[in-house]
Amino acid sequence: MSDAEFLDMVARDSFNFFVSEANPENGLVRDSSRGYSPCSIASVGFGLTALCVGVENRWIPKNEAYLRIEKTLRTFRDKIPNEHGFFYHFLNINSGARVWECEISSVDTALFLAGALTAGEYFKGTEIEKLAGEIYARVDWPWMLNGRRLLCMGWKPESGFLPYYWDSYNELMIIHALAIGSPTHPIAADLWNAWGRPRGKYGDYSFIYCYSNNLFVYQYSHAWIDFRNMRDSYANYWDNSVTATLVNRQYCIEQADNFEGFGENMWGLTACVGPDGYKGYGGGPGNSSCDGTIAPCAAAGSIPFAPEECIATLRAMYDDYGNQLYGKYGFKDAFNLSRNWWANEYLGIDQGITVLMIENYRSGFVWKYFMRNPAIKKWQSLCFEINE
Amino acid sequence: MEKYKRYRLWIDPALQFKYIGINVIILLCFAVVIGGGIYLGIWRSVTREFSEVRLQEDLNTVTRIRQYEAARTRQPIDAIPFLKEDAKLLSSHQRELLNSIIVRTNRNLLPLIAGMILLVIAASLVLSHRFAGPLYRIKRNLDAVTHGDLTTGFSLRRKDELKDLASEIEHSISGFSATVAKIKKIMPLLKDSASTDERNRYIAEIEQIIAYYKTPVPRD
Repeated sequence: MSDAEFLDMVARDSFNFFVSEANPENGLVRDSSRGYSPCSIASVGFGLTALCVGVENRWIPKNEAYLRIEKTLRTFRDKIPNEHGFFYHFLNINSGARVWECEISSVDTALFLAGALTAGEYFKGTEIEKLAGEIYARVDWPWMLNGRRLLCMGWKPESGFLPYYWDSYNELMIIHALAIGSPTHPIAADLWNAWGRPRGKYGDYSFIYCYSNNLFVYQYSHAWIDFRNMRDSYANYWDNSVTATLVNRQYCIEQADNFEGFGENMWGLTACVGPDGYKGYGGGPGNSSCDGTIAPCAAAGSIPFAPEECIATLRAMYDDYGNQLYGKYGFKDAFNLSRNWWANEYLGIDQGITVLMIENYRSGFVWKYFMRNPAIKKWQSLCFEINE
Repeated sequence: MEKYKRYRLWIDPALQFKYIGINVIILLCFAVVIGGGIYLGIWRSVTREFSEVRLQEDLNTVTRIRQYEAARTRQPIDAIPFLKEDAKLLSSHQRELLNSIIVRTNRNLLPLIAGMILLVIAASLVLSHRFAGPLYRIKRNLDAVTHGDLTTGFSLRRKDELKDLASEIEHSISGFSATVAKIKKIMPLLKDSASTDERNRYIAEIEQIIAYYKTPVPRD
């Protein structure tokens, strides 16, 4: 099997999560393939984009994808409870009601919106574009500042704003892009400079890092935003993610004596399920943690940054551990050879980053459509220099 | 009023058993449908939603959600408050589940109840015809008798009730009619009778005919 065929297989199988784990009545997508899992709006966001990828690759008829997306957006516009346009992180898969007293989440709302706006650009001139625009326009981004210069992570009706803010580099860039670019309720462009960009070193590598060093924080914003030719006052974030990926790999290579299986083609530390539950694994500067658990989506989500290293790793995982690690929705969430532990579930956000980043590597499809959105162009023009 | 008090419970056992049976069957159907709806709607949902597997999955989910929060906020999870928060979330989620089961059951039961009520109304209407029709005809015929018309008869449908009563009334009216006809026959002969003996004979015949009937003693 060639690399192209292998990637196509992985992407297509991962895509199937968003068809089979979605409620066809309302478009809500489960957080996990585990039974009784609620809907995660981040999963929905990845799913909306994945459906467009699916049409492009003929994995799903265009008409079917259109109807699914339209139904999903109508559900969110008309039925899902929101607070100042922001949505609850987890919803009942049938009713769309808030569950588990979860929070109104700024980042998950942003991931949902990114998916919605991508679908809107892909189906330009249709009801989908209109619905996506209405949902986006409704979001009151300044409200989420809670009077500060940083966006809050969330809000609960019982206790108000959470005590956590997006104050330092991580997956926050997509939130700020949407907030600054908002056509109706934007935040000030200079708040792009309000969050921290701590610099760290790992061996010969120097980069802006996140303390936990979960690889997904260097990937999520890039799933939709093409940072390749963009630079702000601090960095080119594309180059930064390339470095972060290589650091993550290097860390695992250096931990080979401590954790079984770690090596040049067996690495990938990110937030994922593990033998002791869901954790944020990472490697490099900061206070990251590692117990030997590797997530295939870590390498999959970094394919555009380091294609040779990432594809080789995924192929090694498939060839060596495919029986335990690969299933109906592609790679399962994680594994730990030191503890002989294998995840028996798939997470929507991890299958989602896999689909989107494989497609971006192959064709730049998601970037092409998302970057056309006028709000993103506005944010780009306000915060970046563009090198054509 | 005391003299009209009923001492016997079973006045017409066949008729009474028949309609008790019909009412019981209708009510049983009602109870089975509604009871079944409640069972399927509530109990089966409760046993499914609160099964050990479901509770375990719920515990996994609430744990997972707490872990997401911890991973996102990069805060360590303190075990004891973590467990207390889990228990609180779990019980509020169970309340949510129970509430949603009851709301869903009520929503499903309402059309069932409405349907059953319509069915009972329709069945009662059909059954009531079997009484109302004959009673109407009996009343109408008795009205006619009150106004001197002894020629009316009863025609009841095959499934109508009160056939025996109607038959008895018809028999009474026809007997009375025959009596009146006899008197009517004698009257011209009485009027035209030439002698006192003949007149007395006709009067005695009439007296014999009307002596058959008991009438209330007039109060002075």
